Amino acid sequence: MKEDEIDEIREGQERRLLKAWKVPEGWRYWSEVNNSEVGMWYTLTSLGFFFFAGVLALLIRIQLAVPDNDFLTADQYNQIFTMHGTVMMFLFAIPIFEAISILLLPQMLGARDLPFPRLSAYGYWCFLLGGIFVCGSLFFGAAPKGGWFMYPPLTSNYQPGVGADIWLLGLTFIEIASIAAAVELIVGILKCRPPGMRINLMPIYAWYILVVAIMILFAFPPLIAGDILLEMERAFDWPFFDERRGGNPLLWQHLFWIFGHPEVYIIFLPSIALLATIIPTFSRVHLVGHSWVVLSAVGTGFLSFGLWVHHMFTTGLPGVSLGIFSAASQAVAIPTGVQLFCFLATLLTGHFIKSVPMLFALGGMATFVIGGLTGVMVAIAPFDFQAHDTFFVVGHLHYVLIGGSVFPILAGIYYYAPIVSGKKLSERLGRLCFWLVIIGFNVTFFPMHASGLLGMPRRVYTYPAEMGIGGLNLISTIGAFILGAGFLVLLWDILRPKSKQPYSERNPWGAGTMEWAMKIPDRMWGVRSIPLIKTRYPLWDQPNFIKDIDHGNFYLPDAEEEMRETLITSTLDAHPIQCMRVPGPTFVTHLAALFSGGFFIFATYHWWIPTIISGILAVIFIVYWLWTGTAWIPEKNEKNVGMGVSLPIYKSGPLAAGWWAMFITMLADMTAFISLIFGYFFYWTVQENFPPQKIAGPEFLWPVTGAGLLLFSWILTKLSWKWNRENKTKRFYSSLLTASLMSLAGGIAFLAGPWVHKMDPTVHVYQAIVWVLVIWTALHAVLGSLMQVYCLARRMAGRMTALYDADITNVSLYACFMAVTGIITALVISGFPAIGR
Amino acid sequence: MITRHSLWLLALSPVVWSLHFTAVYITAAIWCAKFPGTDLLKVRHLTAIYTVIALAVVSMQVFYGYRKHRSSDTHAHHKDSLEGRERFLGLTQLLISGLSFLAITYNAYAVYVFRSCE
Amino acid sequence: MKQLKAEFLFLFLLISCQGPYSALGPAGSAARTISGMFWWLCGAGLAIWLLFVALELYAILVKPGPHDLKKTRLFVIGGGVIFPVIIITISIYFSLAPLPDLVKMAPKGSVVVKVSGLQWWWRVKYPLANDQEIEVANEIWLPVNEPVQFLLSSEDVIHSFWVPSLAGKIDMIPGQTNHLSFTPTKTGHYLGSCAEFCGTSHALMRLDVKVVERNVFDEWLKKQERSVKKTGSPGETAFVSNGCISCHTVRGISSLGKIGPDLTHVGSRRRIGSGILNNDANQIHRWIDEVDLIKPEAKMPSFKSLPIEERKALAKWLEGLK
Repeated sequence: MKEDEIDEIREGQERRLLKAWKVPEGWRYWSEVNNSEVGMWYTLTSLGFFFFAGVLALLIRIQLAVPDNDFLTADQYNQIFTMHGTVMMFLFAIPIFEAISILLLPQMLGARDLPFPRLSAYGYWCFLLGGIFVCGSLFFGAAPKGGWFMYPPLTSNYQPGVGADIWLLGLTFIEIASIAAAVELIVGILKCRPPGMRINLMPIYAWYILVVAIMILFAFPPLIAGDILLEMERAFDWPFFDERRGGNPLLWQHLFWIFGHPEVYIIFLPSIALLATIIPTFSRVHLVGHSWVVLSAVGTGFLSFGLWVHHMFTTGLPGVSLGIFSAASQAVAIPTGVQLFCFLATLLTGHFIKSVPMLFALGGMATFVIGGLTGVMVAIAPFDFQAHDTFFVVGHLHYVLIGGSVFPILAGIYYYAPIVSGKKLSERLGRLCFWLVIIGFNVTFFPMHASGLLGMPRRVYTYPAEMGIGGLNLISTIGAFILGAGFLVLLWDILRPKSKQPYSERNPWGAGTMEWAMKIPDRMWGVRSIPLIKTRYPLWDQPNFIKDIDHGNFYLPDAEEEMRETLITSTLDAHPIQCMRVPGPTFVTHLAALFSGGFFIFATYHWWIPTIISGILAVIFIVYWLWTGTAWIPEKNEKNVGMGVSLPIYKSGPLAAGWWAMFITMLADMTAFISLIFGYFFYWTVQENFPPQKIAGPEFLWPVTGAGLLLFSWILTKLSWKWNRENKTKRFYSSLLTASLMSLAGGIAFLAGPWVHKMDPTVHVYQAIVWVLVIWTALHAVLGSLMQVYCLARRMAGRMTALYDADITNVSLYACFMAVTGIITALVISGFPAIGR
Repeated sequence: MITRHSLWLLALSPVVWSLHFTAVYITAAIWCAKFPGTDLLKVRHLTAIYTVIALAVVSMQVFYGYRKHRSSDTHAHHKDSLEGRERFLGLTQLLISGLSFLAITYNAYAVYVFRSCE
Repeated sequence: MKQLKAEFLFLFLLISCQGPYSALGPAGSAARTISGMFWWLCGAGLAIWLLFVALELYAILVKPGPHDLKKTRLFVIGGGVIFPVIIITISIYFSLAPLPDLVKMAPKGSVVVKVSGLQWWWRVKYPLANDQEIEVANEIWLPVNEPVQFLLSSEDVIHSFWVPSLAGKIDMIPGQTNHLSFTPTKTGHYLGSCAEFCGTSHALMRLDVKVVERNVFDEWLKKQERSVKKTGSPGETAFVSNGCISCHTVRGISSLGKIGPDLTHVGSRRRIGSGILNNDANQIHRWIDEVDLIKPEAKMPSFKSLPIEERKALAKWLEGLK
């Protein structure tokens, strides 16, 4: 073909791509859902919460600067320190990694977007709404004040007032958004890689995020289960944590820390992932020990779930339990050490290049190592008996969180600024920020190790002069302001007007990984064509790589139907298997988030009618979103995606992204359910008489009936799937309708169990936990019924056919989990009392 | 042949570790809750059984991982080929199984330090 | 500025680490074990950190050029795997070894002290041989060089019992009794704090512990056991007529009050208000007047409404209950 003809073709391709990926203008801009916009909003909002919590920290330090200070009252201080921890952990540390991943992962994986853009948009709006709600409480003097960990009985029985409820419900709302992001990231990493990016060629950042997202699935649900129990006790007096009626405050601690310990690794690992990406760039070599680093990430992820009791060393548990957790908590230092040594090795092997990101990276590692060492110290149970709940731990946790998480994020901000805004940040300001931050940080937090061991407990609004720690505290306060100054410099560097500054050159740092293939400033198509990958560092090792992308010589160089498309590939070897269309801008996610939020927010104030209305509206909007935004029947079966390959546009079943999303979400859901079951058996373990002899119910009839109904509902759903494929419409409709009625009936049957036996959940925790389990099962049954009806409607409306059957496939999967939930509930509440008594 | 299940194999050893960990912790916790003040002899016996089984499974994983890893030439795990991918998975399997082995051993040791339920 | 200089100097002197709340100036067997462990850990930690930083600096300053890949891989395996495994194995061995002794109960026949945490004070009981108990509050005396068995619980929320110079802390959880035992090794006066956030005035829940020779301890216990003789003084009358007895017990006057601290020998204590005010008539008077300001949200109401003469007499009488 002639030059001109080729150019014309390319121009046409670019025009169509730009049309498909066009970002709306004016106020409609906020309806955008693609990962670049959502990721940027997410990042800026998270940083906003970081600065808010940072100001709270300065208030804390002013109050603690001198003994017996009265800058803040006790009540104000208790709200402020609770909010500082809560906002930092839930509204900054987790969201920032999700934000950065949403922003950058598709670039790193050569994908045009994440697989479920509306889901990440929904997650963002939930996060924004929930965050403002929780933070706003502080301005009304109604903030939670039980510490970020909210131990009952203080928070269940001794803090009337809406603060604790805001924490419980506001955070549950936000956590759901986090789980949604995790689901999307897992599917994105496993299914949306560019062709040829086999699992061994996947960027190390993606490995870390995969591990972390899977951790979220198993770590967040126990907290959600605990939140449900604590809120039920506060709102309805169900005695889960009231020892006078069979409850036990330690159950909360177990559930909270089964979440809480992996949580800190969920915060730490993505930041280390940034280091693993940045260090090779400035050493000009491949990461040394790539497999070792992968092993360490996976190993740390698993091991972190076996450490939680080290937060409970002083609760009076038997020595042998303490010993087990102490050993495991020390062992986790090994994979952490491996990672750091691999980074050192990369530096040593390569040709080191000075830069602001590397300053933060190196400073961060040195700081983190101090935190890691004090971490091994507090992992040692005997030492922890002294250090627990003192400022020694405050020192430790800030060293690991700031050294291991914030410093790498600062490195990431300076490194990735050209991708996000097209312009580099200032080197001079970056260095100033670094020195202020590292000096300020150490001056603030190092003395805390001493003040803690000299007797200063945590969460105290003041301390006596005779403790002799006034000087140390004053030093910490001075350091805090230096640290604050450093962050102000950062804020200025981000916000200062840069209109006169030229755009950065392409790939300004000379990196080797895919995200730097983009033009700067970027075009909205994400990647001009989806490349074929042959190495881990394609920009270094694949000749003509950038040119080929730019000229559209790879996959999907065009958007012939002007729709947003990206490639789905196989998990291990990234063979292309589907050309997936993803939805574009919409406001339905906003409405769904608004009413989901309304459900939780009205419930906080016990305004039940608005709560129910909000909940119903949320469901309606979510159904509308699913109806209009998912499982589109394409106008043709296959299309040409370039490089001589033709791919289906629609996939259902275990290879499809939607099926994976359902499966992963149900893993998280089952984890929350198992946490509630754990609660049941925990009560049995710590009490002599459980289930109590004189309390009857729920016996066998109703729970077993319920389980049977749910089981049959699943079987019928599976048959419906088969009949849909075979176009046996009468059988399809009747079996699915029966299935949905059975789900409903099953839910009612479960509720009948404790109802018929007049089990009063406020009398003893046994009744309460049985009620919680049946309500959980019943809610899932109702949801299942709704989903089954949805499939009926889809078929009737012609949006689901024999060939295009993703809806019934995914609902079938859900029904399986629903049946398993029912069976386990029945086994536990009916079967266990029979043998346990 | 080489199937999707290979990725799950990566998780096998850590899952064995977590099962062992849970079994040991629950055994000790329930024993000490139901029979406070007694000695830990039975718990130690059960721990030994769990540990032997767990270490056996994990050792097999170490062996298989090593074999997969050594099945072709060195430095192949960053190569774009089925071999390379297998070699990478083999090495990672070997390493994670080694770590699990270590963690299981530490866990079992911790039980033996204690005589009674205090 | 001068204050700042003094503080800096103080900081340097502080490396001696003595102090009435200090975990590093041990006066009890448990605290001594832990303190010894701490110094080893500090040393090892410092050495490892210096090694790491040295390597970082070496990599970027001394030889900022490419290194041999094979040697570096060996370094990774050696430094990143073998070295941490050795260190952690040693650390697990040495760290678990003292644990059984730290958690075991004191031998039978040891002094038993029952402490209950409440918002925001400590109910202390000494069980006697005859199934009776002596109740005091906020101050604990112990005989030196004898093992003591603490039995700890809570009557409301979770608190934590911590006297750093003597031993590690243990939580006080409603519905369960936790154990702590150790042997005080030095006579003297030690201070403690509640170490689990327990509400608004958590920071003001402090504890006095006095370790004395056995004979001094026995004398003190006998004195605490004695009831107060009725004298009909104005302070005593005020105590009864103003409803104080509904919360406070003064054995000999009234034993009905269980909600608040036992005040039978309150005059003998070093501090009042659970370790936050000096014990003299003025401070007691201040407490009666402004307890809601001194200890926010404490259950005791302020009695500022009483005539000042009554309050003065009350304070004087309480100060005299030695």
